[in-house]
Amino acid sequence: MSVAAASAPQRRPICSLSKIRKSFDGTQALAGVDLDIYEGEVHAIVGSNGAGKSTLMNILAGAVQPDEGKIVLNDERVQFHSVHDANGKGIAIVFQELSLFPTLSVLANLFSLRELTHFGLVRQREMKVRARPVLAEIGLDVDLEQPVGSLSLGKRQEVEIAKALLGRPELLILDEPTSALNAREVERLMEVIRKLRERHVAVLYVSHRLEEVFSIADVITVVRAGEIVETTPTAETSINKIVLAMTGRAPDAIAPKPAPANGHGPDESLRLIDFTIRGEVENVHLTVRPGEIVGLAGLEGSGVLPILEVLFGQRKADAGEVLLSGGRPAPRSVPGAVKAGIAYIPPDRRREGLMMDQSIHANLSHVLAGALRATGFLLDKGGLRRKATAIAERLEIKAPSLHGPVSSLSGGNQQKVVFGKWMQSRPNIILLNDPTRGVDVGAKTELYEAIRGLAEEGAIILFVSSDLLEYRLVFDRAIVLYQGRVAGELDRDHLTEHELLEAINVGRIESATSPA
Amino acid sequence: MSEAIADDVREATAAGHLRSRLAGVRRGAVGRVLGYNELGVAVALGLMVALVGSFHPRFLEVFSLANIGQQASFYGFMALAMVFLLAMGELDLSVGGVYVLTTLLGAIVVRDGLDPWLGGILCIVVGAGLGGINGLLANALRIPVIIVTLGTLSAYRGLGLIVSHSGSVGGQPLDNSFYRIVGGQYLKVPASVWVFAFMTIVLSILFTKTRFGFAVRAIGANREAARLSGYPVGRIRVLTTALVGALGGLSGAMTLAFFGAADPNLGIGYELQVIAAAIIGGTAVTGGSGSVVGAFMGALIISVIGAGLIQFGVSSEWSVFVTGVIIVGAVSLDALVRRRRSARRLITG
Repeated sequence: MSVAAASAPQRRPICSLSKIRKSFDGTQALAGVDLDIYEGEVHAIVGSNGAGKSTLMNILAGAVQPDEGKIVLNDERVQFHSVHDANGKGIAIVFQELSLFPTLSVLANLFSLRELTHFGLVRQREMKVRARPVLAEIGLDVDLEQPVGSLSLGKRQEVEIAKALLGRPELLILDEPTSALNAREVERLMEVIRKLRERHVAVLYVSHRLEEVFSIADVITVVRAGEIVETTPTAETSINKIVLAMTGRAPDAIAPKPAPANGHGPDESLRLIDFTIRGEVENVHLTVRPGEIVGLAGLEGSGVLPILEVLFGQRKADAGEVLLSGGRPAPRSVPGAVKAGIAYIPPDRRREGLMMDQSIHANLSHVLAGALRATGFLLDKGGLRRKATAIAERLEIKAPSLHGPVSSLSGGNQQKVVFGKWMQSRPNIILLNDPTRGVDVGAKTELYEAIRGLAEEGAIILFVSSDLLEYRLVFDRAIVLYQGRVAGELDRDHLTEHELLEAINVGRIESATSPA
Repeated sequence: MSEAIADDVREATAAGHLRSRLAGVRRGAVGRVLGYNELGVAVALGLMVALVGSFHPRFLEVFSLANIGQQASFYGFMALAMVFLLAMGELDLSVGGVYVLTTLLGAIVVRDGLDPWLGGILCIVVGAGLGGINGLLANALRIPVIIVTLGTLSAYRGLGLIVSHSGSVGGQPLDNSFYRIVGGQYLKVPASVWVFAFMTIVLSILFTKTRFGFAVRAIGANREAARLSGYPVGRIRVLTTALVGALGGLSGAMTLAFFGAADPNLGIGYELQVIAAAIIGGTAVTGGSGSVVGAFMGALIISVIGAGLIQFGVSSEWSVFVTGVIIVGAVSLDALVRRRRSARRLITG
């Protein structure tokens, strides 16, 4: 694989990796990686799940030690023994999964493990004095006494970044920082990164979201199968080229087939009539026909999630009517919803979707054997396995054995297991809540195809996503909610990131097509 | 066993390059670990019996071993059911209270003229009810079963004191067939041991081979995911606590049949022995998995420790201490295995 020279010759890298190799238990995660990082540069690292990005970042941050190769920091060869060690040498990392203590205050979190003390007593006042300029620098406005758990995810992410910046790092590593953020929070994060760049901090930015990468990065490095495929200035490449480099496949494979023609009667539709949840959703009217994939777009608090919760039997509406296909009423409980043919794919598969320690087989059987009681009192293990195997083949779940724990799968394959579990129940209404969060491009495409396939079989699909790019790729149309009301509808031609952002943030659709 | 896991992980790590080989692969790492756990417990039990027996051969006589089995059965019944609750990630502390209250109630109604057979059945029904109350309260108050039963332990035991006026309840029609059959011996082994073994088989099947057991393990593995998969989590919780109570009642009925009397001081400290038996048997307190057969052997191990220490002339106070040490040992071993497993899992992260 070739490594393209990316930067002007007169600049010197602040950090430079050469011939880094790392294996885990005989599996090569990194096969000789060279990487130069320059000051004041936002350097994006992209690649499929399992490509070695996380291992590379963990080595740079001192969390993992390389088997071979060297790290040169400011012309000096270094070895990091721990994250703390790397931190002391000017490299800070914000991990993918937030590592804050929710019940402790912002201040306590900022200084955790490096509290300023005086004869063993914590010096609150001095810590505040030190923290304020850092918070001001990234424009984070929070009460230092507030417990972190009460902050939004976006704010927590910023606290995490502020914590990293307190050590005045020269290099800040952000590992998938936006995977849990909504559109507005992502925009804020981008501003923070731009400020850091002005301060000449180098930022390594790992992300699956290519539009974001293109909006912020100066240089993009593509990692595939433990090697660096290319390093290119952003201006000299395109999303298509990067996707090709990441997957080795032509990028147009990502675009799904067009929506199917619709011949179903209106009675089979999902309808919300005058749907109201006091204080959250007001007088929403909505009709989704079988075979349609409709996006529900809106910020946090716009009423999108309460609608999904009612449809899945988790809570009740205060007024109005919900009619499922065939005119049936809304379910009153989650088991009721499952029996009514409603599936729900949650955003957080580890917490809400999977039994991580159980086998892939077992995970694929939970809807069938659980709520649907599709087997007798005695479990028909053989039958369940056959069905699980069939679904796994259909979804191309890549696992050496379905008896292995689901935790051994990559993120994309784990999400396929969540899909597979629900496809077993042949649902007619499918609620998707950010179903491709943290999933790599290749697996995303396969999931889109699966969703499209379900729609073609006549399912009604309601889709919520934090990834605005997804709306255009997948949906037939999107209904925009703003402060609990339907603000309008965007058809396929208007599902651009720009128009969506404007619609969900302003609640107004300029190029409005037909109102819902 | 860790070899198998390592293999799985290795292969999964390379999964990006592998096509799936799905059909016909009969290799379950989790299943293997469980199998090994039970084997380990059986070996430990055998070694303990052999150790005591080598110094005190009389310990190995049928009478002595049967006695140990009977001791084990009284709290062992509840340990079998506790496996279900532990596998759900819950804990019931009220088992001793349920046990003593059902025994007393059974003794009282039989003393006052009810047929002893019906009295025995009443013990089981009342036990199931008392257990079910634990689950219903936990659901209604949205708190874990352990918190509810922290209270109902005292409440049930207190009720036992009230109904018995703090005294033993005798006056049983001991010539009734109930005491002869349920309190008797078969092949020199007490009936309660036979019933204990039988219930082990029944509950083991319920745990591993039925939809109910599958649901219990799913809830224990990830309660939120189980709820969102459509499992009726609340109902299964009530059924499980009722099962624990019913086994407490069964144990009460067996006690009544054997002793022909009941006492309000029965079953003090049983909650710890019951939980200990399940944990020694390889059921993790973290939920998601468990072994009914393991709990059966765990109960026997605790009983062997008690009897063995007496053989060596160690005072009975020590048996409580030694049981504690063994629990810590069993839990450490479990934690060690778990840590190794999750350390390997990190690789794919």
